[in-house]
Amino acid sequence: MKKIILVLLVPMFVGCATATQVATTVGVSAGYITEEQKQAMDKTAVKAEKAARPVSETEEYYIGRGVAATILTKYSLYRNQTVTAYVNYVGNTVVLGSPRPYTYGGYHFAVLDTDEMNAFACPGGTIFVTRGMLKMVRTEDELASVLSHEVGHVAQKHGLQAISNARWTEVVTTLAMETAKTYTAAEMASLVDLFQGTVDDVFKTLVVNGYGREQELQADGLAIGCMKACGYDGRQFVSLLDRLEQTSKQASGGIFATHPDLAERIQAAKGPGTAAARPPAPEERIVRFKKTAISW
Amino acid sequence: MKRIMLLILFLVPALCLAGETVKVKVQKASLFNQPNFFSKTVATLQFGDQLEMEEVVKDWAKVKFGQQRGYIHQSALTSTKVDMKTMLFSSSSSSGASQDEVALAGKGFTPEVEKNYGKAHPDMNYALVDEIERTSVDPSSLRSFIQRGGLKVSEGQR
Repeated sequence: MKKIILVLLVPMFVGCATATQVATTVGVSAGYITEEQKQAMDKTAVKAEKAARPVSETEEYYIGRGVAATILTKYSLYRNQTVTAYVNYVGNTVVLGSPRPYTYGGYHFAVLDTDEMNAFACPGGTIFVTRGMLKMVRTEDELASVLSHEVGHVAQKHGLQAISNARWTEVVTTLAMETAKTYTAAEMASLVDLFQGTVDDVFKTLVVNGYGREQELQADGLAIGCMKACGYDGRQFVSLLDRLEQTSKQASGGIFATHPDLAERIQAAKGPGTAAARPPAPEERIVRFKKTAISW
Repeated sequence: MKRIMLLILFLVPALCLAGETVKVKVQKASLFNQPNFFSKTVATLQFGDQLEMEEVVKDWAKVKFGQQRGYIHQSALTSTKVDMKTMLFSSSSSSGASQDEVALAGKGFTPEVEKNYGKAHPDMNYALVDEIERTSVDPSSLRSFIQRGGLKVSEGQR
């Protein structure tokens, strides 16, 4: 009886798959299970632990870097220190109001040198906004609207949801076969292929197809919350969407291809968070926006 | 009886692993003397640092790090406990996992995978990505930006 209790207690002090392995080892030596049963249980425990696990924070970071590198093959980086610094100040302000102010590698904001109107949130926190979108915003509060929407996508890990279930299952199945800390050449080649597929899944959603309706509405809700938490005027979130919708009647591509449901988003955004009147922005906020906007 | 024993052996790990130690799951995070991003930094924490959880205050955790006590935002922390509910019922890439992120580091998509991917795709300009990641905002300048712009330091949404 003592042996049975020992077998049951051992896993309480160690990790799950490891715990199962320790428990089965004790089980074999106590004569409760055979060596074959032990091996089958160990294998199942390792597979179950890995197959069910979500993308880790560090994996999210490396996927995000891959997506950012891919975006930079399509667009050029706009290297203007004043503009980049300002976008990073506004972006990092709204990050502090988000439910996920920390990611593994932190949030970084960059500007893409294109007239196309759009913004992209790479998993892990690298966020791109185009010069075309910057030219559309009229105030710092509207810029905060764009950036906080993208921060909302990062906070909710929407990019990762673009990874096909089949691909992720293949990733974790490959990892379940891993026995050593270093990969063989074949395992590495397989992981690199899966990494490319994963990056492509996210890139296509961000740049070509756009997120789903629910994800856009969720990011809007978070954006309005971020803006409120930081003291930005939520009404300007709605005014920007209104103007984008007006523009969409004469334009196509960019944000209008990846964010098609503007009318519904405007309706959803109109609520307590965007209705309350706020004191006018202080002169400093207005001036710094105007001074920077001439450079984008 | 043997089958029941096997079942118990397999399921027991799911019912255990209680613990109050948490780890830092981001590259760098500050331990503050107040639950506020612009309060005094008590210590700078690195990925994998172990902390003793004492109390949760809204989005912040009051923790002990060695001999120092302070507050850290919960989004920077991972539990060392394995959440079996998440493991068994979550979708593959859903958010909100509470697995030990530190233990998962070094598995799956790693710097080694990225390096090999970069070699196979020389058109991927990782140097530019590194350049973007080097762009950082100094906390004191950000605080000044927020204050001078008539904005406020958030204490979180919840």
